[in-house]
Amino acid sequence: MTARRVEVLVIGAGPGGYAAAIRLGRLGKKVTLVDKEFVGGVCLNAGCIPSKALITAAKTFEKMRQAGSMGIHAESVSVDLERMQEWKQGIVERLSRGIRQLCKHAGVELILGHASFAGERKLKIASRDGEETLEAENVLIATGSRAGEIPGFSFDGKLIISSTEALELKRVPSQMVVIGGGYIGMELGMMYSKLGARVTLVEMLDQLLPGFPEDIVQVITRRLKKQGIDYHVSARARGWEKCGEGVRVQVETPQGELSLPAELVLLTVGRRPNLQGLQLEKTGLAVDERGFLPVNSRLQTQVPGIYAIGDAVGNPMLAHKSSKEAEVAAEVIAGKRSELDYAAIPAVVFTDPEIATVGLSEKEAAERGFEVLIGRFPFAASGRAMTTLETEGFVKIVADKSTRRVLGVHIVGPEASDLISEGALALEMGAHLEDIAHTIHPHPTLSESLMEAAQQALGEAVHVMNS
Amino acid sequence: MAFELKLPDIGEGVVEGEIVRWLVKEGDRVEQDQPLVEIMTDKATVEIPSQYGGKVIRCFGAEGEIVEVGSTLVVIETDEPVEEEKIEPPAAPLPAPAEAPRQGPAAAVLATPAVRKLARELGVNLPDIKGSGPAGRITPEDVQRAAAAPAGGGAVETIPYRGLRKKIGTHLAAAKRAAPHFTYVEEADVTELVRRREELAGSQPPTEVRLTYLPFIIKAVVEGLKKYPLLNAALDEEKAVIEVRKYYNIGIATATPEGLIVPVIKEADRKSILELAREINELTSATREGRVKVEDLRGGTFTITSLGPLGGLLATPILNYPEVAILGVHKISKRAVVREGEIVVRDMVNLSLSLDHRVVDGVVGAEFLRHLISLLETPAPFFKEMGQKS
Repeated sequence: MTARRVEVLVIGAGPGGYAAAIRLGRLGKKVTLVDKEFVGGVCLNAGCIPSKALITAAKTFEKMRQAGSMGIHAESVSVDLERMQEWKQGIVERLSRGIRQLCKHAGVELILGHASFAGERKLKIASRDGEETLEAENVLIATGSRAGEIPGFSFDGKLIISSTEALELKRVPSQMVVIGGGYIGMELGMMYSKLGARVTLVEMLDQLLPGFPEDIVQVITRRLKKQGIDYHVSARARGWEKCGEGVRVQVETPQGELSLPAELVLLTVGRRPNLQGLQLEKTGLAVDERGFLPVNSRLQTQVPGIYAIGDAVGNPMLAHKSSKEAEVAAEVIAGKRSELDYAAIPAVVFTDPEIATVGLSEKEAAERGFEVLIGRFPFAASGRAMTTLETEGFVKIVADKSTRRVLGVHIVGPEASDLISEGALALEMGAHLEDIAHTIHPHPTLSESLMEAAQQALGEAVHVMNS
Repeated sequence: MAFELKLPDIGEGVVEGEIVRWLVKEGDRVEQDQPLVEIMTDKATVEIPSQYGGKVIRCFGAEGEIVEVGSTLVVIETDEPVEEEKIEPPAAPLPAPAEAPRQGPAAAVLATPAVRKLARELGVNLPDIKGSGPAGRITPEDVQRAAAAPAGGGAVETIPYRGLRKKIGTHLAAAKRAAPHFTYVEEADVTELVRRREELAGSQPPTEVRLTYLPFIIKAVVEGLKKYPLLNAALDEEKAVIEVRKYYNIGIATATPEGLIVPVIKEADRKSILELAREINELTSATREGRVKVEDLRGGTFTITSLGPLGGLLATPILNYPEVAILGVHKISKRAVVREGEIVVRDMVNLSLSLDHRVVDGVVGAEFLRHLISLLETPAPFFKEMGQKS
């Protein structure tokens, strides 16, 4: 039987895959988009969107209970997690419909099925309608990633769960142990703590949120203590056993062995690229030692006509990195001169307070040989922050002392996730401290803090002491 | 499996090539990558290799023949199937995985994302450019200028090539392309002409028209054209006829800031020296001042281009197509020449005559010029005429 020919086959309909498909459709290509589970990928269905919805709800709950100082008395505030899940699901469904519409308008054919290679450009698609063989002129692999496990802990969906199940719980657990103190574990741990769970964090490395600057993490750990969240660093989870209705987790710490009781264990030790099941060996392609599929700055693999983006090709495993790669890959496939070319990728953590960073940290800048000039502004000095009851954290700008060129912007505090884009723009434009310091920022806002931090570095600050 | 090897796209703008030499013949066995044929384009001579091993079944095109890009050159019966079903690790590893962004947070080059995209699209390498924007930022204009400059070039002033300049340029290029030019140069002894003209000019009241040598030259040319009518013609290749004109409209090439413009003196054979002089003045002034009428730029049958004060010994004027002849007149200057075994000082002038060799042969051209010069060297009849009609 002659295989059906398609111009572009995109495997995976997450933020990378669907973005590439729509962009390609708009560039005039006929695209077939395949996903084995859902449209929107992990981001839309079991990651970014659902987690932010629940985190915002949990924060709202907390704020209402703390609003007494503002003169607001909310007597009986309670959480109905089932209802919260329904609300969250409504958002997910609305967005999912939106993506389908966009795909339809771009002429993208959507198939719910499992794709695997049968040759270099030949693929088998297994869906509930049967099996189909396609011959694709171009293939874009955007298969994303899945939650990783560690020895002694395998997901069972009930007692040992991943972030996917954690976002679907219908009842707030009374006690939970979170193994892995990276951004996913931290976000979900803090969220469930606000909803009433007793949370304990276990992290293998010597600090929570490994990779983030120490002074930023300090602000978070102070809050953990205030919220009554226990945490252990340099701690290794060795195994677990059933104990009554729940479990006990064995943890090895520098101070000795611990046995932590919990209703369930949330395992957030990192994510692994989803490339098995694709039968990549039929194309001659192989993954590297970390499991990623190597690509160049035009998202091309070593086989002409096969491209790959997103979590499948490397760190950071972030939706916006994926979307950026999707954009470039689509342009390359459509024959345009395009290439990955960005100054920096911002990273955001929705802990409370939020963290957002872009560019080089103080340490990284020094390692690269820069003599650094730092500007710092604490939110405690921000009038606006005071009016929102969120005064923890600071804005820090790292600059090159000799040229005053901005090298990095780091924020921990209220709305950090929305403030960081100014920093990203500054880096892309090659801004200098003066460019931020001398741009009028409106008052009273949180964004003023960036201006003040830049001014502080230049010795021009008004509302804080200059260094 | 039979494989057709077509002439690939060898380079920019190359649409065809000439088969210089066949390196194989029908029936030969060839290996993969073995050169099959030498092709010459207007850029270079290249060897076209075989993509597959196998036997040469047919060769298309003889040596010396021009073939188009995309046309079949060779048909080869390959050893293995053309569609590679074997799975091998890919041959050439591609560089740098997506983890290393090109710019980085502290890239040496200061260029915004919009400018970086423009550079990518225009194929410009940013580190090669000096930015003219604030703090040394590379601006879009910097990129565009670099894209237009030749490789390795420095600062460049870009002058738009359009309007009259472009029109003149296109006309000249077309003339050169259509007509095989040849130029014949001779010198004329115009001592007598100079003496008589100075005499006449001295005796004229100052308000009278300025009298240069041009009216005399025009008169001589017209006489020459009557004797050698082929130089007063135009070749219509489409109709395959040489149209010999029986009227004499002489174009006078006039320099303007935009370029050389040629106003035409109609029916020069019917005008007196003084009438010619007057018309020359009017037309050339009007042309220089941009007032010349369109019909005065049309209908020429022969053109004279005077190189005047710049002089020069010899020129190769370009025909005012579709005219078949153009006369270049150089500076009249005193030279030492030999007359009857003695060195004397005479007023001499060089004349460069360019002709369309499709219509006019060397002998005819030379004879015309000889005749023209004999008229200029013995100008008495002109002055007699002037005496009659002042």
